[in-house]
Amino acid sequence: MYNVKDLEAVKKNWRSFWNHEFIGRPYVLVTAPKNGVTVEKKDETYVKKLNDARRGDFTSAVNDFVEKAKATMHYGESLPHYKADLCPDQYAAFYGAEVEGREGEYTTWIKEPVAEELCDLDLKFDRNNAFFQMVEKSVRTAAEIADGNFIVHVPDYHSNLDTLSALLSPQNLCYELMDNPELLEEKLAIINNDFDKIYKIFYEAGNMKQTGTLSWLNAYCEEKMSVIQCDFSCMMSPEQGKQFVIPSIEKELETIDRAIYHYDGKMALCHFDNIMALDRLNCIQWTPGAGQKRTIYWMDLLKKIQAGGKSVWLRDWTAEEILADKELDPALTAFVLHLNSEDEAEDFMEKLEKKYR
Amino acid sequence: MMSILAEISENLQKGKAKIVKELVQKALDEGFAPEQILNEGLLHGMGIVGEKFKNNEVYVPEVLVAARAMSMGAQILKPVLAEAGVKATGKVCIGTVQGDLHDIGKNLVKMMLEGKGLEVVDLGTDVPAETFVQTAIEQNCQVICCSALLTTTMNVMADVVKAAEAAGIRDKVKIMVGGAPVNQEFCDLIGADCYTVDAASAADAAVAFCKA
Repeated sequence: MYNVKDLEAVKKNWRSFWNHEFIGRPYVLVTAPKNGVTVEKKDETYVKKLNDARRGDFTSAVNDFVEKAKATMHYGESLPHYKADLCPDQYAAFYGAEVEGREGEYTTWIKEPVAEELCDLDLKFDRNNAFFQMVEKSVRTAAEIADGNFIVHVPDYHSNLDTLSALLSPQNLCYELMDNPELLEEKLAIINNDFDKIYKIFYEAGNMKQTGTLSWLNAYCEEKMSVIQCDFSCMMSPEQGKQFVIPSIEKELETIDRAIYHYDGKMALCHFDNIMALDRLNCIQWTPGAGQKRTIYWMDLLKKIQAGGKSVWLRDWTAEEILADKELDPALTAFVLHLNSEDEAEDFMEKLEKKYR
Repeated sequence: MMSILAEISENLQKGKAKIVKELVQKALDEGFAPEQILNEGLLHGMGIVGEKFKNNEVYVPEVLVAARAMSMGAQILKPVLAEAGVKATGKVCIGTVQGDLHDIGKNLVKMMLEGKGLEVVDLGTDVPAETFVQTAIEQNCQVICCSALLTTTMNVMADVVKAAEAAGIRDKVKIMVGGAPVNQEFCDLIGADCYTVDAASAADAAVAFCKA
């Protein structure tokens, strides 16, 4: 594995992470540029990956990544990883939505909703769907090139209601929620039931049985793991959440062994108790949302998550803030941090370990 | 027995669009003044929904179906109101700024504005700064409402303020900004006139600007 000093020790720590054990410090995923190696900045956007894939080129982006991975050092629990996804809303594309990527932008989007009404949605997952095949090939090719030197991400799915939101538009999904709740349950069940087979196809394509699984949040697990989310829940009442969101998450949790919940937005906090009640969710990545203060300013919420027996996943703290923290339970905290040099990273690791000695 | 206007308000709050439409027609047939139906039926109902939304008593789907019901009722009233010479409280143009395709927040504000009796020119999504200003000039809008969901696009709002200054209408038009990444600090920084935390408050602010 590129620039990982002791892979077995890292894997051991990840086992501890999922079991909520204390390893002598909080979990940290630290990266830094390798001394003396300069890598030219490459286009890492979804738009480039999609355009490449549409031209039948599944290797350029991976080769660019390899160059960067060879020049990146990993500390703590960090492992080199590659995201083969072609669109954040790719799950909707698996049901026929068209994806577009505008030149000069980072993200690819679903071009337009495929229907206005739920009754017009024909939800049949077909492995021969052209977009699905592109993502599958993207994952498979990356795994072949990886050859044990890095890990290919479990794709970011944006499944359950987020898929329906992309297929119909958020506004039309809101109407359906009020007008046709029974039909919504039916359609949602189709999407939720397909999660298992879709997850397993990518699990095989990404050689994940051998490598373990790694999510877009960089979390690693030797078993089946995924980041689960329902961004659409920020529109819904707690009762609607109980009826539609929670059963969807429970269904996805049946497929995987370990899970992190990407909890996005202040308006979704009305579902907090229901989400915390899901025993099989191991960790919460609280994302306050655009325009909100960083997670360090949500200490009460973070402590509430830990008091409820779940880890917190934090990506926006500085090294100084991590070293100064006295409030979070280190057994239930993971920080993602990028530093400017090997010296900085080694110094940080030393200080962190000393702090908890 | 509940009056027909109260029934309109009640059914609107529940999002019963078809019933609202029928009741509005019935009220007209019974001789109620269109302005009274609008104010004491439709706008009354929407006002309650807006307040409940502010207090987290109802959520986005409930607001959307209520607004849809109001829109259906208003369709019946529109020609009658025009005939009676009743004018809107004010005129607003609204859009999601250039580079941003998100529209549910913008649509919510639009519906709330209409729920307050304002005439709204919906410019849609991905709207250039100049289009906001040009529309305000051509259609005599008192207020421009800009929406953004992305931190990468919110800066277009500053361009709207600058474009209004360049066109010489800055003292004639109020510029309101909103959306997830926007806050009061940003509003002050770019020199916009108003930021509100939710759609209902945005509608209140727009009405106040139009009446000023």
